[in-house]
Amino acid sequence: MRTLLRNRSAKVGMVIVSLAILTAIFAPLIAPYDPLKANLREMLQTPSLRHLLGTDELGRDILSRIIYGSRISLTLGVVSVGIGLMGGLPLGAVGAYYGGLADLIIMRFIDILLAFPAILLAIVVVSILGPGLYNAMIAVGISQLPFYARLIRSVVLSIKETEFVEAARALGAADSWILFRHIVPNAIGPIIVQATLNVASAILSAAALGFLGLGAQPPTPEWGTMLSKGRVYLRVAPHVTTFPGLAILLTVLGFNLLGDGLRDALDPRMVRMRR
Amino acid sequence: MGRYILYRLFLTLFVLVGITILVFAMIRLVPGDPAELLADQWATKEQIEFLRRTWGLDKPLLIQYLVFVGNLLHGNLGESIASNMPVAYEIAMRFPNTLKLAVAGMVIAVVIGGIAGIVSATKPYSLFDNVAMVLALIGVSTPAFWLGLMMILLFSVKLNWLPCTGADTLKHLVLPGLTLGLLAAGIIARQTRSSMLETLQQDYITTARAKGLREAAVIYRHALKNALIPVVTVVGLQFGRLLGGTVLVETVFSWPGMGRLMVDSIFTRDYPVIQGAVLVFATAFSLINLGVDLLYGFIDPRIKYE
Repeated sequence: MRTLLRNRSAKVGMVIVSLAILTAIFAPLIAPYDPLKANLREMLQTPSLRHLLGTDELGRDILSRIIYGSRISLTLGVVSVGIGLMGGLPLGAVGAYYGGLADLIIMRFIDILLAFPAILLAIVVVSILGPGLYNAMIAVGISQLPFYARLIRSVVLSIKETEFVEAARALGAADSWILFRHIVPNAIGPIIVQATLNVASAILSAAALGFLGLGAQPPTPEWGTMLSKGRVYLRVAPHVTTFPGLAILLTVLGFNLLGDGLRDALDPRMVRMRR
Repeated sequence: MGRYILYRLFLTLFVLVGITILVFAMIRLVPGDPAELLADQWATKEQIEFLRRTWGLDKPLLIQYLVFVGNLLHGNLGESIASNMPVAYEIAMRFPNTLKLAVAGMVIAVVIGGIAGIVSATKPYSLFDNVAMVLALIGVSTPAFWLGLMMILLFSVKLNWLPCTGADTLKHLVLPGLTLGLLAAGIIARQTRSSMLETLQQDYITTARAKGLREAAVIYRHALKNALIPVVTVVGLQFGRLLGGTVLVETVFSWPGMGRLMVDSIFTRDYPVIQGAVLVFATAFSLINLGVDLLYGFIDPRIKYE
């Protein structure tokens, strides 16, 4: 933690992520207006003291929608990462621990999933499940699954031959106990780094699905969906597209900075190389 | 080396078979009768039955799969529900546009990212390095579709320099290409920098400097070649990301490519086209990965394939 706090970019990342989380938690207290309430008399207004970030095509306050949108985007990011981890962790761990045929089958399955660029895999899943907020979470989660499976496999492979695992085996512990009580907890460092970086890419992917009309549906104040609706008014009211995009950029940047900082803290050899 | 190439080819073939299984399974995972999903919503019962027979949908799954692969090998991807044209034709019309866009993006990314990474590594912690790496991180964190819209706002709406839709001339390629390229440039710059920094600390670089070589010769003749290997991996991976990114960029710039075709098809539930586009995207990505893997051996003869 001390190394992390010494890292300047990690500090900036932590501040941004904390602000995003606090905004999401206290959205009803911070937001000046109801994010869903239309007011056609005030549509497409430019930023003013009354509406700090202006209003959208239905006269809704953009700042309030961005504030509430942080709830959706953060949930999308975290839940998708959770789904990816839930799927990838057992696959990678079991493959590496048992090796042989199990490993061969699992890893070839992962190879096939990796043949799809992540956003494409998410689109494939949405085209099966149908568009929507929850399906977008599942889709993004599945698109991240292969990366966790690979990461966990490589970590488990390096840990499973160590002496404490040998000792547990000698004491007669069951495989599942050794795997999930002894090996996986030791792999937690790299997993946290990867998960933090993946929250960033999950938020980007989910916003992309929203932008394409395949994720959260209107009137949900999801940032990608807001951007998609606003692009029609790009010439007359560019602020409708500009601010939700900035919100995505800042949040993703925060998670990327934090993830990079965590990686440097856990692997100090890389500090000089990677930034 | 020969054995490794054979092994890698076999693995790619396996992945390609896997892709066909996934694409085949896609339509069967969607709730409803596959024959009805593959047919026009106004199709008659006879037309649906005809489709069922053509694609063997009344047969066991394994036979259905073999029929599917057989049709694929004959270039038959079915017919688009929306246009009634063969899917292979629809894709053949758009794939070159997507490829053009992805290649333009990649060239921009490699040039900008490569130069920024090399200069950053040769002057670590300088002002240039700091600014370049902050910009690179912003590039990695920016949504492609938003960057595209901001480009349109600046270069098309405000300055009126470049067109924002269409694909007729080279001018039309600038904004979508730049959008794609700038995003990938960030990752390439970061990778090039870290790889160069690592290489510049090697003993043979000290030797080269001790021999009195000019710094430019040390960097370009000795360090760069060796620093390239991890960069090639990242460039290969980025090409896949760029292919995925084309889906978004094509939507923003109304670029008549495969990504936009696929997204439009999802809304019209044109499953044959979705299947075809997914198949082509995934196959292209796998072949690029294969190419990158094989390229290693040529860049770095030290690599011995086991």
